[in-house]
Amino acid sequence: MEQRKVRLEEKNVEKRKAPVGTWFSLSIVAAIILGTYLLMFWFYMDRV
Amino acid sequence: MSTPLQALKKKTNEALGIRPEDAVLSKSYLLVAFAALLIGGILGLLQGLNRAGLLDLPHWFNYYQVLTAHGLLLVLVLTAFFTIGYFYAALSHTLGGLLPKVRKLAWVGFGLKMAGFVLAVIPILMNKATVLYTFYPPMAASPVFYFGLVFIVLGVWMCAFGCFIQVANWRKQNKGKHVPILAYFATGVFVLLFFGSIPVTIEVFMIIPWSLGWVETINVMVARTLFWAFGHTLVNIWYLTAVSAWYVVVPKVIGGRRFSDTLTRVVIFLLVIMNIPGGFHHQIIDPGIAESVKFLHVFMSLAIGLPSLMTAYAMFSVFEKTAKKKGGKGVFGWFKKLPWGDVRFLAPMMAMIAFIPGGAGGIVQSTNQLNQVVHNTMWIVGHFHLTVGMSVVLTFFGISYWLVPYLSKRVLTPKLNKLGVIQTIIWSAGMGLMAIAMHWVGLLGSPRRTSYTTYFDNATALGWDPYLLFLAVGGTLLMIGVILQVYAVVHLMFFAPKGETEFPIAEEEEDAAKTPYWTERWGRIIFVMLLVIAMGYVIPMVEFIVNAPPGSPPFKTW
Amino acid sequence: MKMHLDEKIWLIISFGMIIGFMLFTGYQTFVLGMGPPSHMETIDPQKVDETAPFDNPGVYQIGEKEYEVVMILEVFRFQPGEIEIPVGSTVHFTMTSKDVVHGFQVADTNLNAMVMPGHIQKISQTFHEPGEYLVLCNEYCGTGHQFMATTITVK
Repeated sequence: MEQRKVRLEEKNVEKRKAPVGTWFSLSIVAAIILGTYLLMFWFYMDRV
Repeated sequence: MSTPLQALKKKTNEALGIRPEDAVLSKSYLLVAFAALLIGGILGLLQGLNRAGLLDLPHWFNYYQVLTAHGLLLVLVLTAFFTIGYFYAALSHTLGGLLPKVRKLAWVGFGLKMAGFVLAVIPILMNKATVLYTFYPPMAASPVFYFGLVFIVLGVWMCAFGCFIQVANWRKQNKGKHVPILAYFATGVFVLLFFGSIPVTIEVFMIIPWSLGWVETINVMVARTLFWAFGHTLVNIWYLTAVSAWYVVVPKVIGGRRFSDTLTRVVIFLLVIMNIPGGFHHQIIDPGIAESVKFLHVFMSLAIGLPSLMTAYAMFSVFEKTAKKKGGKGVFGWFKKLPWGDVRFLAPMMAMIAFIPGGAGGIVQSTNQLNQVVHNTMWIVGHFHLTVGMSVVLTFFGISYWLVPYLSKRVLTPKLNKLGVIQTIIWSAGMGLMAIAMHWVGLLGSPRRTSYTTYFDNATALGWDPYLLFLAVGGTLLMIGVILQVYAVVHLMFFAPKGETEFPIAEEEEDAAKTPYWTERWGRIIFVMLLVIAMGYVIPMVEFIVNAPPGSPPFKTW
Repeated sequence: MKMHLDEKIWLIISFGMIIGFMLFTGYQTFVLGMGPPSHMETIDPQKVDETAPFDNPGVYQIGEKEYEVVMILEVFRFQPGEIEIPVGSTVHFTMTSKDVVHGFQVADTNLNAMVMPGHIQKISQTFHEPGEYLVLCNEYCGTGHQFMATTITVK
């Protein structure tokens, strides 16, 4: 049981190291959301 | 456990492909869908040319008639018929063939919907229902138009009931087992279709006696709110259909495994639960709704974004994992390992990419007063051409390259695959150009749903013209895309070489955790959904009815 | 429910972003009074001409550099049209529709509101820059919808 747990954790660590590509893509998603917000917010405040 | 008979049925189904009776049903639905694409696409081109100032539409078929028909054909016929054809094929494939009574229900639904569309289209062509597909009262179309809508809804309900019966039957024979994932998606979609179309049915039943003159006036805010309770749900029905292919089909096509089964099901029922009150973000600048209610609805609308953000994670994670197995490394390396030359991947991938700015725009424009910057401008048109025109429709196109040959027992040839790749590129370029121009000109103030006008040579309005030219350019590219796509579908259905095509369903990871059974409790999911709907609607609806102004008589202003 | 740590972090970031938008919008709405147009008064849509203040649509000065515009929207015109006001004025629009649903939008401003029959809608804007502003209807209202426009001249 203990051993299995350790093995599972190792596996998790191994998996967690990997997703640089995922994070890179997700940061693009976040940047586009923030960018769109700022764009529209800029238009809004400019017209107040 | 499944009965031996069921197991046998499933096996024969997988070995021999879809049963001919089920194939005919789905093929008929798909044919209607792509016929609607062809006609709706031509009408779209006419509008693009008009908005660019290049084409005057004649009196007997004016811009607003074209727009009404374009909307109805593409956002109702294309999407609804495709969704039903696709999910009925999936139900047949994953649940061991359709039950005879379910098939019958789907055919009755087909007939009712076709009858409804004929009834709705005749007054549109006669310029007696030029009310756009939102048909806001107190504009009153010919009563025939509304009768048509009733038949359409009834037809949709038949298909929803068919799905519920099929799934319930399977569950009875497979006690304790999880419904296969595509059938789970189908259940979510048909639950939304059924509950989402109740409000619009109530609206239409308010309108019919009023348009016939039996009732003098109508409550316009109640009608409008009921419409959007349906309208926004419809959007997420297409979206959920597209998402089903992203989670289940795309991983198989790229040679990978699908994302966590539990989280996939969580995304589905979250979308089902939170969806219907989303309609209020179409009414952010309406009178008669208090600021506090609107603010609550900002939260309710933005919350719908969360399952989509979960989906973003799921997709990238699947892509990266799969590509890494093939040797892709680092931050970008995995990207090259994806099968870009395979239309079954490329089309849904472009759809997903389009959903990044599409979804971002959706989040921002729902944020209360920021909506004032873009409400009813061309920005919104750009937004839904990205989301529906690309995210949903390109996914449907991608599906068609395996679903149609699967149904017709033919195969996708490399030549036709190439055509599909070209089609995807042309479509993406056309929609991309058009959507960017629409977003920008919308920020500058150009309104939606308005035929070409310079507003008496107003300088501001004249300044929009260069951007509007891109609507003609985009529209022309899209027309080429429509022709290629319809050709591909017809070819795959009737002329491609005979053979077996697989229905691609990705497997779970080998070490996947077991999905908890509570995800199957649709009773509870629907109960929570109704609670959320009550949270969103009770206060404003009571306000509209209790503090109602004297109603409005019907108007025909066209 | 098993969820990867990465996904949890991503969801927290996403949720944080959304909550951030919410809080900021809420602050603008409730503290700074910048909420979207949401006026609650109603009116008989068939008696607009006889009901105050719409029995006298027009431009009224109500303070130094402050104006009220009482406006009726009907197919296919704004009444009053061709409004003139001095630069730096704040204008409060009070509007209703005599027939179908209209949209009141002024390009290059945040003026954008649905005007429904039976409901009175209010929205305000300060005009800091001189110029001719295009007023247009942004909800389809019939054959002449594309001609439903006027101007506000700020001098």
